[in-house]
Amino acid sequence: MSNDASVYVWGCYAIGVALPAIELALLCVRARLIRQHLGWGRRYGGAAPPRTAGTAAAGAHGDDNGPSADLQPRPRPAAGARQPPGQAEPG
Amino acid sequence: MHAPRHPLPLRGPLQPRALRRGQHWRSPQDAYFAARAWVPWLLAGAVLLGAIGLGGGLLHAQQAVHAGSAYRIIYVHVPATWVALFLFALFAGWSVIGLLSSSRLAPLMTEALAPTGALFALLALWTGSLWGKPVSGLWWEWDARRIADLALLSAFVAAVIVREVVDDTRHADHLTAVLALVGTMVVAAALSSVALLPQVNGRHNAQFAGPAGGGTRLMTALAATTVSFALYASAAALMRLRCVILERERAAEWVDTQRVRR
Repeated sequence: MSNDASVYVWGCYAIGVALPAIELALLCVRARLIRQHLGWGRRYGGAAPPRTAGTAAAGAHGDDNGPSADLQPRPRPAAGARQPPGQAEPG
Repeated sequence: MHAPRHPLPLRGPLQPRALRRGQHWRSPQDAYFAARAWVPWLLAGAVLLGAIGLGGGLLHAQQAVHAGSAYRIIYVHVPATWVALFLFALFAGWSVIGLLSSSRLAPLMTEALAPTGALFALLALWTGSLWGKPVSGLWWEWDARRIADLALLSAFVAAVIVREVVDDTRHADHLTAVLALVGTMVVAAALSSVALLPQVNGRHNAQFAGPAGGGTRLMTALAATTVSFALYASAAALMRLRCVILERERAAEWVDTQRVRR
């Protein structure tokens, strides 16, 4: 392979591999961030906080705050906490 | 009282019978979980075939009469161009489906396909320049193939920009679909000129004629790289589709259900 052409050939193969790899990495980061913001569990790629007695009780009672409008994680109400106005008490 | 929480619509790594029937691609929720099952297999196939195709093209391809060792560039350039065209066909097809029906999945598909299509169109343009410089001494030539690549890149980039600029998602969906149809006409005109005006593009065709006697190896490496790029593009589009679905459906009950089930 002549030196002149080899620069173009290796450059071509480098960008042919690098561009998809960069896209793939960005997609992985994006997916992880979205799942983290939605508060999804570890099983679906998010970083779930450890399940504590408080979150277990809240999960058992359900969470009726409605879905998040801005992809922000919502604080989970503690067991026995007062519900926001307009929402029924679970159970 | 609370409604009972629904079980996951698709569990486990694969449910082949359901996927074969295609019933998990009808709604965004089903598509989200079906895409999750497909992505690892598509990526694995892309890596395997990419190693075969690119390795074969780089290490074992013979030199061409006209282009010398620069001929190896076509093992990236041609597959990138074909996959960009393939993605644009999908992009235009989903746009038509979105315009003619009330499919919720169609606009999500177009949104997922556009950035990956732009990447492959950019790759085709870039490698085309890398091909042109050592062969003809020019980074850019106004021939039909380059114009078609440029039109593809412009259409995909315009679709991405429309999504970013227009706040109303339904309006953005319609604008993107119209953009895809206009782009289809431009790309079709550019590609048809390759056949209708051979005297203009004759030199380019002659340069792409390839080395004598290397037909089987050439086509094997080209086919492997093309399938590899197509598999990668499908995986990337499905990964982005999952992100887009979550962003658009974040208010849906099934998204909230997943959040609680941990």
